[in-house]
Amino acid sequence: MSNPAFSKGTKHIKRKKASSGLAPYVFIAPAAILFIIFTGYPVIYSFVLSFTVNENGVNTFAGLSNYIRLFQDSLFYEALFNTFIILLVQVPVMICMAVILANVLHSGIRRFKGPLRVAFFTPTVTSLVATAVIFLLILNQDFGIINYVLTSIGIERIPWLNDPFWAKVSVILAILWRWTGYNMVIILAGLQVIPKDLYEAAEIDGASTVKKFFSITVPQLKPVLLFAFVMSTIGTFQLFDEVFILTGGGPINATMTVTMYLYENGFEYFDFGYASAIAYVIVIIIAFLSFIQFKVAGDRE
Amino acid sequence: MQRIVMPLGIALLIALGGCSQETDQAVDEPSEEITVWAWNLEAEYLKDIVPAFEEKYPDIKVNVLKLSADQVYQRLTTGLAAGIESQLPDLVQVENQRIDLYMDRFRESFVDLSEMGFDEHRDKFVEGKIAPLMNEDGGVMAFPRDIGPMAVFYRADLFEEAGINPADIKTWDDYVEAGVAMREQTGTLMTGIQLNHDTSFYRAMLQQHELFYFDLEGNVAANTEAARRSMEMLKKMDDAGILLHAATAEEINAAIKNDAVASVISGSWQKGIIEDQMPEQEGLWRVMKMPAFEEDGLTAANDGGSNLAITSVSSNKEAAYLFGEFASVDVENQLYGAMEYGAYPALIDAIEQPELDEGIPFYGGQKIFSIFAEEAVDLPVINFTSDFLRARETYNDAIGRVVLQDVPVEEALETAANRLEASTGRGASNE
Repeated sequence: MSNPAFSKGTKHIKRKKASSGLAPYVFIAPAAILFIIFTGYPVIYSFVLSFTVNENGVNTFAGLSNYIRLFQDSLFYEALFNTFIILLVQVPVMICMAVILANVLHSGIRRFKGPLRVAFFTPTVTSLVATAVIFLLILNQDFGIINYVLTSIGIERIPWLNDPFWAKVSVILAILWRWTGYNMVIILAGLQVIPKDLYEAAEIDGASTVKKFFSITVPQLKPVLLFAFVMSTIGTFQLFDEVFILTGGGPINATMTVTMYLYENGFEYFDFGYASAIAYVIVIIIAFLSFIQFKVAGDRE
Repeated sequence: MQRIVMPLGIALLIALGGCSQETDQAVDEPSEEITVWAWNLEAEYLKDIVPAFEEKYPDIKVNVLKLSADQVYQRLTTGLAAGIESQLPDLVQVENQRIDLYMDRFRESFVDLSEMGFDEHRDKFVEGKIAPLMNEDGGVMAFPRDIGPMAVFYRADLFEEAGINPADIKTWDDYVEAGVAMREQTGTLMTGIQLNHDTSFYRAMLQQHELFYFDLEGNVAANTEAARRSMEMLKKMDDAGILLHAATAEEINAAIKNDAVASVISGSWQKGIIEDQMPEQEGLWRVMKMPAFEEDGLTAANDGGSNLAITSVSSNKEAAYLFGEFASVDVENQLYGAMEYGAYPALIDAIEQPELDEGIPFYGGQKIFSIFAEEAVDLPVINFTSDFLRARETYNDAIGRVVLQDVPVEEALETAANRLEASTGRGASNE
């Protein structure tokens, strides 16, 4: 941190300016107030809720009973297991695909660059309900287009949404379709700030394209990739909409994610205390995973 | 996948209520205006009867708000959690299967209709409908509206092609046998099973044992002989290869439309779905009673049906009561709802009306309402409990294990019982 911008002199000036009035506080007040009402208060309230159970319509303090129940709940472990499977399979595949796509779009293709970028990014901004409905049609076991194609080339129909294994695959496919473009755009931005002279120097040394990719592009992209991994991990732990519409968590809870389980307990069964406890356990898991990812990736940035 | 962190969302809804300000409502001088929340056909039905009601009671104005079922429940839940009148309707549609949940978690939030004089009408309804609406003190908690007596809707042309005489199907075993013949003769499957959502005919089988997910005391019935027998039968159907595996009801409907399924075991409201979505199959459909476990055993079971409840924050309870009464006890209205929207009445006088005894052209002139009528009066009394939805998930889970993973029936039900007992704190049924 030897940046001159952070030297003592400038700090002094800043402090002097800040003390000159209430203006900054007035400007941040709307955001701060909204944050407190809509984020701060609910966070605290749901923490309090997680220590209560509803008895005959009245919330009563119940200590750690919700948390104890959670750790004995085999369905919660199933949901956690499913979430981890999706995380371990989907996130690496998605990031790899995003890196490849970004590289191809960055340097490989000269024409149609714009339209292709738009094509890959469009799923990200598509309405979720529309996405899920289309996937429902595509994946229909008897009348869906994928199985139609499969049967016409002599492969047996696949029970996409009616089999525990294939239901997981279907969900993964839907998330891949939806989020690969988003990660691609982030990585594309990362690619654009890698200094050109690194590649020029490598070329002079006679490095191959593959060598350049693994020795320059990947290390340079590290912070961007870390960001993509952390965001995708958080996203997977909050995976809800796709599953909710596509499979409803079934069959046999094969696609039940932790957030889906949270929703069911809170809004279907009105077990708000238990749902809040689940929420807090998810937060702790996400924090822990993000911490590990930062450690593994080495937090130089 | 970047969204607001979920716990915030959860608490937000509760917090919203706490923060919102009560708008000025003329509490002192009761305005004679009531709001009703309902969905789909029930909302249409209520809208249709408003003019007649307003003619009878010129001082009262009724606003029927048509929402989706999800919207009604979500808005009702948040509104009740907040307890604010301006956010809640005076009268709201709630299904039988959810009424206990609301009455349990929001005990003081609904009006006991018995205190307003509904007891005079109590015996006018079929027992299977009204019994689940009673609270512990014997008070009626909501106006009973429609029911869904279950039956088998079948394709007469496919049955004939396969050489099956529907009159011979008396027991579930007969049904399975017919299904095998159907598959061998026509290649069509007998019926569909929803693996991701809900298997209502398993519930029907339980009802035929005068039981449900829970027994009448509210104990978990997963480890009863009835649950085992029902599950064994379902397994037998699947082993015979007569079930179409579908994810949702939509997939089953698609299969029906494409002649891939020859019958549907469903509530009377299935009539509307078939007529709406498969108009080209007019004249091909017929209805028969559900098979029983033994010959002359109980065939009746119920699936679906809703009610109208008065919220206790309402400042126009009297007006809401009058409208609820008009919508549920008036024979003419019940008849109209049944004929126009297929909402089968729970009111005995309406069931017995000759209009409901006429042949329906879509069903080749068959008097299908007479079949529903016979089923309706026989409906077994069941206990939905406040844990119905949790139970439905758990049992469907067990069905999935048995059908898809060949888990032994005993073991699947044992798991279901353990889970349900642990999560609800209820005991095991000793039936």
